[in-house]
Order: sequence, then C-alpha cells, then structure tokens
Amino acid sequence: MRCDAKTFAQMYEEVYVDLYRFALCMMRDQHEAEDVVSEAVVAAYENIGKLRNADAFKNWMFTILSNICKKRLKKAAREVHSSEEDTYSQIPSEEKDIGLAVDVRKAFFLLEEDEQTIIGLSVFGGYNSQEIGEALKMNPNTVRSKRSRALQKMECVLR
Amino acid sequence: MDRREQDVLDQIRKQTEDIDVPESLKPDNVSRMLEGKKPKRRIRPYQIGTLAAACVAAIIGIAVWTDGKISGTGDNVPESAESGISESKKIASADSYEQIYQYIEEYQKETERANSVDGGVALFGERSVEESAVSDMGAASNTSGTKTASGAESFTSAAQADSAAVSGDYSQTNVRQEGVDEGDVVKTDGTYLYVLEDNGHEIGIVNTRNQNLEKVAAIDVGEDCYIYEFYLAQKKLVAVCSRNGVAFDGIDPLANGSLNLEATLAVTYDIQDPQNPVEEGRVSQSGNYNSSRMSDGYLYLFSEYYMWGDMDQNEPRSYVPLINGDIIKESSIYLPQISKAYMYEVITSIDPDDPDEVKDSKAIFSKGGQIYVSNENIYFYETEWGYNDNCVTTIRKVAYKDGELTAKAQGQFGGYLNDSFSIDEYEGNLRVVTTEGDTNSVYMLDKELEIIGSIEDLAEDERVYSARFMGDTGYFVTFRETDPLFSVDLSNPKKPKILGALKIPGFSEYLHFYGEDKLLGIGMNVDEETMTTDGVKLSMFDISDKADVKEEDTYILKNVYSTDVSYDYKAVLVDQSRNIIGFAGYAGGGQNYYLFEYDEDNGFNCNMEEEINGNGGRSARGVYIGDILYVVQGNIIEAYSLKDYIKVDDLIL
Repeated sequence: MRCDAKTFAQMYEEVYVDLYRFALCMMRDQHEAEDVVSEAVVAAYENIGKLRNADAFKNWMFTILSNICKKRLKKAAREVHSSEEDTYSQIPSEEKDIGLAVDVRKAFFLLEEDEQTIIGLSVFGGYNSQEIGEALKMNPNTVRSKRSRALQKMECVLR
Repeated sequence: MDRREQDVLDQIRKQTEDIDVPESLKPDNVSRMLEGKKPKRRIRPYQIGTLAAACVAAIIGIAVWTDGKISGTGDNVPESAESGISESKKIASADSYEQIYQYIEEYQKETERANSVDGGVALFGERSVEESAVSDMGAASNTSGTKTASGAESFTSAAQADSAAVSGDYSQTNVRQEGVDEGDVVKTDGTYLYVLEDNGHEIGIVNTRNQNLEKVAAIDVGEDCYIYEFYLAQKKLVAVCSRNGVAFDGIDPLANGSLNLEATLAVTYDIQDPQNPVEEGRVSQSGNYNSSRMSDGYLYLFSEYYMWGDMDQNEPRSYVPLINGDIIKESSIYLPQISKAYMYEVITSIDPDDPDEVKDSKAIFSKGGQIYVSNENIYFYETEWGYNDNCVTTIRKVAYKDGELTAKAQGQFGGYLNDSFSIDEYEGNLRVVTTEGDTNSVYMLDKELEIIGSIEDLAEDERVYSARFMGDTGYFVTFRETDPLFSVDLSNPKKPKILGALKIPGFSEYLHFYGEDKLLGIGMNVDEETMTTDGVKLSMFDISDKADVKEEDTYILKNVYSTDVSYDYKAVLVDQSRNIIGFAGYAGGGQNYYLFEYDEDNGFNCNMEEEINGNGGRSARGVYIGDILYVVQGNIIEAYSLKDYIKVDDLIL
C-alpha cells in the first residue's frame, strides 16, 4: 500500500502500546525494548509497499517485531555464552526499575525463547494457538503444549 | 486452553496494563522520525498475484500481507474441520511434478481468496485425492503384530525394557517405542560418554574408565552445521544435523522470497577407536530436521521442507525436495488427503555401513504434522483445525523394513493427539486417545486405518495430559480439577470399554510402566483450594487390578515448579531393574537433579537432590555406567556414586 509517515503513524497508534509491552517482556530492558520497537518501525515503514491491506498492519508489525527480538536475544545469548556466566546470576535484580512488574519479568525469565514469543503473542497480540502456529511455522499442537508448559512455569511466580 | 491457563494469561495482561511507553515511541514522534525516510520501492511487484500467497502461507519471507489477521486464521479456517478430507483409504502418489505444483498453487489461491474477501469463509478445494499409483497396499500388511510387537508389548518384557536393552550395565536413551532407538544429546557405550557440546557442532568423547573423567576426542561436523542429536550403533556414531543453505534465518518477513535451502544431514563416523573418530560419509535432504529413528540397523531421517521460496513451474527443483542433491521421484511423493499443501515431510533411510547413500526416500506432502514410529510402521498425523477447537486428525501409514519404505493406508479420526504416547500400534491395530473440543475419545483403527471401535464423550471440559498403552489396556490422564487416571480395556478392538477412573489431585504428564503391575506418573501436584500447582509430583499406581487402579504412593517436590520430563521423555532416567528414577527439576534457585527409588513397603525414597551446575538451552540428562551416575547439562558433566550419592568427579568440556 501507499503510505506516508502520517498514515503510518495513524495505523501505528492503534498498536504501539501492545508492541512496546511485548518488546519489554521479551527484552526485559527499557532501552532494548525502545530500540527494537523503533527498529521494527523503521523496517516496517521502509517496506510498507509490501503491505497490501491496512487491516494486516498489526500482524505485520508483530511478526517483524518478534523477529527482531529473536535476533537480538540470540545475539545476546551468544555473547553471554562466551563469557560463561552463570545464567541464574542474571536474574534481574529488583533494584532496577524497568517499568515492568517484577513478577512478570521473573516469569518471563523462566521461559525458553520460543515460549516467550508464544506467551507474548498470546497476551499482547491476542492470537490463538492456530494463528501463532502459522506465524511461527509451528504445529498448533506444539504451540499449545509449549504455551501450557510456559504458563505452568509462570504460574508459580505470578501466584 | 483451560481456565487455569487463561487465568495466568489474564494475570500477565493485568500486570502489564500500566506499562508506560517511552516518549520516543509515541505516534507523533514516530511520525516525525519517519518523515525523513522514504518507503522502499516494491522490489518485485509482479509477484503479487501468485507468489505473495505462497509467502503468506508459510508466514515467512512475505511479500504482501492482505489479511486482517495472521494468515490462516478464523477467516480461512474451514467451516467444519472434516470438509474436503479425502475418504480414500489409499495413499496416492504424485503422477507428475506438475501435479505437485497444482497443490501448492491451490494452497496459494485459497489463501488469496480468504485474504481478499473480507470475512469470506474459504472451503477446502472440492477435488479430493484420487486413488491411484499405490497398489501395494494390503499386499504385505498382514504381518504386523506377529513379529516385533510380541516382545515389546507384554508386561514382563516392558517391565524389564530398560534393563533388557542394557547389554553391559549402563543406561540407554528413554524411547517411545521399545525396539526403536532414538537419538539424544548424551549417550554412552558403557565406557565412553558422548556429549553434544554447547556450540552445537561438536560431540565430546569422554573416557570414564580411568580415575578421572577425561576428554579424549571430539567429533566436529563443521561450524555451518548444527547437531540436533546422535546415535551410537555398532561402533559407529551417526550425527543428525541441519545446515543453513542461505543467509536467511527462517522467519523474516523482510526477506524477499529466497529459496529455502536448509538441509538436514546424517553424518556417520567410525568410532572403533573412540580416541580417533573418522568421518565415513554424509547424506543430505531438503528441509529442517524433524525427527529420526533407528531400527534394525537403519536410520530413518525425517525433515520438514516448507515451500516458501520462489516457485518456477518449469523447474521442479524450485518446489520439490532434494535428496543428496537429486530431486526426489514424483512417484515417491505421497499426496495429501486434502487438495492443497505447502510442506513435505521428507523421509529417508540410511544404512550406516553405506553412509554416503540414501537407501530409500519418500516425501509426504502435507501442511505439517507429527510422527509416531511403531516397530514396523511410520505414522504421519496432522490436525485440521476448525472452529472452537473442533478438529480432525488425518493419518498416513508408511511401512518400513530393511530400509524400504512403502505406503500402506490413510485414515482419519476426530480430535487431536496430546503427544506420541497417545497413539499406539498393537497387533496391527492402532489405538488413539484424543481430545475433541470439550471432551475426549478413544478410537480403535484397523490396519487399513478404518475406525472399528470407539468411546466418545469422556471427561467433559478436560483434556488429555498423558497416556500409555500396554497390551490390551490403555491408561490415560485427563485434568481439570482432579486427575482421573482412566484405564481402558481394549481386548476387543470393536468394543473398547472404560474399566476404571481414579480421581486424585494433580496430574501426571508422563507415564512409565515400572515393573509388574506398577505405573509411574510424573507430573504436577495441584492445591485443591487454590487450584494452582505447588510442586512436581511422583505417583506410583498399582495397576494389578485394572478395574480398580490405586495410587500406592506419592511424593511431592515442594516448590519444584517444573520438570523437563513433562515435554521431553528422553529427559527421564527410569530403570526398574536398578530401581532408579532420575530427572531434573527447576526449583527457585536453579536446576536440581533428583534420584528416587521405590519400594512397595516404603514408597518413594529420594536418594539424591543435587544442584546442576551446567547450563544451556538443552535439558539435562542423567546416564549411568555401572555404579556411577553422570549428570550432564551443557558442557558440564558431574559424576555421582550410586552407592552413597556423593559427588566423585566433574568435567567441563
């Protein structure tokens, strides 16, 4: 579709809060979250020609954003890995307020990366297992079992 | 999703409601930021007609997005899941590559239709799969149940299953089907430990014979490959891995339809001298690694090949999987039960003594499914989702013998399967326990995959959490508030009947027969007042009277909030002959390895609870050789004596 910055911003207005919340839960760092959302915005805007229907904007943004998060996390994991740090020493300390409830942050920390994406898309995108399955190229059954396992883990912390 | 899961989601939603978005991301500022930038020109506008849909179909490398939802949602879900599924019992092979092309095109068109008409309900194509090509069905299918099944399913042999497989005195990978080996990330031959290292492309070989653990060699498949798991067989090690063919990480909507070149490889090493492993050969096939099995000396390798690349009608290489670089024969491609598809389950068989060659290869054309491998057959099942969790599972059966693959039959049943323990072949028949909407069902299918018996409408508002079949009896656990363990009499395949239902708090997610008349359950305990899980729970069921199953003993690991066993059966070490039950659990501070024994008088006894010091993305494994238990996580191996459970050694790879 044809689209200028203003039209883009109008579509963006509908979804940006959920995009940021999703990014914050994924990255668990305000600056990182801010960064990935703006990266997604720029990427989406530059490629807006590929979007044919404004109705698909939300899915499009979520897919782009989750891919960018995934790349970042992968990169971060590699870096952490090479420094051989103990994973559990990285449970975020409570003194730093990132604007995300500590429990939620901890709960997300317990999850594998794809579980985070699945939960993030469920909560902030409102997608069901079938939709997530198709977006992540996963069997809906797998999405369900991963989601269920993830929620089980999170339940212990959120309780 | 059940109510408890919904509650957790709601809670996350509630707790994230007040998140403030930074100023820089507010629409006004974004608009300002974007003003200086220009959208790129569409690179290939001509693609929009046909290619775009293909990309949407796979939700990767998208060129055009037209739908109001993520592609393939509500709007283009069929009215009922059953519509358009072929009634034919025979698996059809493709006559030509052109025919394959039409299936993919059909998928694209349908996706387009669904996407262009707002709210329009797209139905499956009317064309149903013709019976053709496969004429060999039935010819050799009367043998099932007589040979391999005999030992595998009886009480005594399964009771000793783990020990029987042990020729020396060391543990084997916990497998789904006795007699069918599965790959894993840690294995032992009784002297050496073979451990997949964190970097994903090396397998460390560790000598356990001397005083101290000592790494003596490493197998390296190359940095461009990622090893998923490996096998040990007859002085050979076969690593199954994937290789990225293009600089393209799978699901990037910004990538323009690049050809999917990801391949799955089987690389065979001679480990006669474990200190000097030598590569003997490798084979490759298109697609991402899905799974593999080893049976009667042959490796069966499964990969999933999605069509998301540019397709050229005149160039079958652009839409047909490659085996060792050669395009798979059209007659080896099995058509789906509905008239469209975009994904292949590629199956090859490999003889490790001839590791550069593929003995046989087939491709099951589909929309994505899962496999269960019995001692004689490969079952490929996929679920067609309809509205409100109403769904139908279609299933295709391919026999295997000495590396030869032969299509047998196809069929369908209502509902979806929890995991591969919910489907089981016995004496040629297939029995499944499914969740169908709000209820659960048991179906018996004959060797032509025709339903011959069923029990429906079980345990309303619950879903199956775990299942296990043995001989003429099936056991399964459903859950909502309490955990009924059902026992089902399947001795008359046409009239399965429920024998008993035991209600206990919590639920088992994994079931394992433990000696005669005992069934071990590993799952979660649920506080009946708050309806939340409060720890990992072990249950030992007395199944000597199938109609009156009793929970003989339980053990709750308080504050251990999860275990890998619930989704990865290879993560559990169960050996009844040694009286060992071992697994890793996640507690507040980290991961611990737990070792239990069970005795009828005293119940469960926890012999060991030790912190696991390794980390990494894979789940931990416990394997034993003689009287030493090795707990392996990531690159760290920790050794414990099985006599006094004291740590005796460790090694960082």
